[in-house]
Amino acid sequence: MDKMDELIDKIDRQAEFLRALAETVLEVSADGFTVDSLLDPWDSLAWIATIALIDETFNKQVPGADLALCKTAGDVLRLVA
Amino acid sequence: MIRGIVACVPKHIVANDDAKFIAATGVAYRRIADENTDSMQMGFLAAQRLLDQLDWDARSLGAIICVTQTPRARMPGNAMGIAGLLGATCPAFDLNMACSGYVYALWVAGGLPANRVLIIAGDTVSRMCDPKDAGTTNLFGDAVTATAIDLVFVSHWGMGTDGTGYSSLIADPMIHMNGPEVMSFAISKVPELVSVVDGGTKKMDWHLFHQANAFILNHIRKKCGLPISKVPMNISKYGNTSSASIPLLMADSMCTESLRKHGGRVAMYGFGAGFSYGSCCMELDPVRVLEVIEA
Repeated sequence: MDKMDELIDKIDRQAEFLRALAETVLEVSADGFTVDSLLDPWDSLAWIATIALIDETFNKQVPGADLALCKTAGDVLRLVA
Repeated sequence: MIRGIVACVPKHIVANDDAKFIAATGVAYRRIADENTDSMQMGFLAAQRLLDQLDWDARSLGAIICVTQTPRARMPGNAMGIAGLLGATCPAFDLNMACSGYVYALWVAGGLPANRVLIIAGDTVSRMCDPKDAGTTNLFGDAVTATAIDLVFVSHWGMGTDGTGYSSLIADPMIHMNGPEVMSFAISKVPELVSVVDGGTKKMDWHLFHQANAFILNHIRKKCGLPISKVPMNISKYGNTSSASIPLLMADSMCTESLRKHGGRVAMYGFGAGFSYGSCCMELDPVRVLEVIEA
């Protein structure tokens, strides 16, 4: 996979992650959900679901304490960058 | 070899009524011990029934191991009390372990110079749950199990501890659980254990996971590529029952009849407080899995 393919793959996975974060974790519409969208509700059940989603999408494990500090979807993406 | 299993649960059934919590954890019902029922009593009832059905004389036991964090007294341990009630005179001792404790008890039993060992595993975890903390109160259930084993032969052990999680699930005296940290630990460590046990071979008939939380278990199952038909679950019926959950799974889930009739190749995975973990796999002859009893 060359660098362009890697970049496209990364963008695709981030878009897939944002959609799942909105619809599956936060139970809101993915339409208009962007990196600037606020995380609400953002409680321990949401953190657990997000940890699973990150593992599934990016094959990475993030500490719960770091996730708890996130305010926007972009903050979460920065954890896995 | 595991020869027989009995699980004892309290009569009192509590239904969870928070739909979001049920969807997130899978726990719909739990058994809760009343004030007159404790882990030693349930352990004795299970052990007595098991020895009767196996026709094992209590005096033939080589050791009794109790896995509990809710003993009747701080001193002595439940194992000594149960030995006295059964009429056993063998060495008897407690292991102060939680959700990984059943696998640890098998591991310890395997190293003992004893042919017949009785493992009594379980807790009245509800006693350690703060009613104001729905996250733990609605998750944990009470149960105690008895397992009769002889000549432990296990083809694999995967034991260890990530003690950095010491404070993430702690009872001091009531349980405080950092769910996200437990989740991170479970989904990073348990798949490693599965990979070692089953990597490439797919020979296991059953993968028996500690019933921590249905969401965690389903995630681990998918991540490991395990078919749902090989991963029994009963957390919806009993909640998270700490060290009792694996033997309770053997006693009351989709694998129970098969274990009774055929035995089979079984992998077990315990993980939890202290970020302790343990896995093992063994090939079982048909097991005397008795009906769950109530106290």
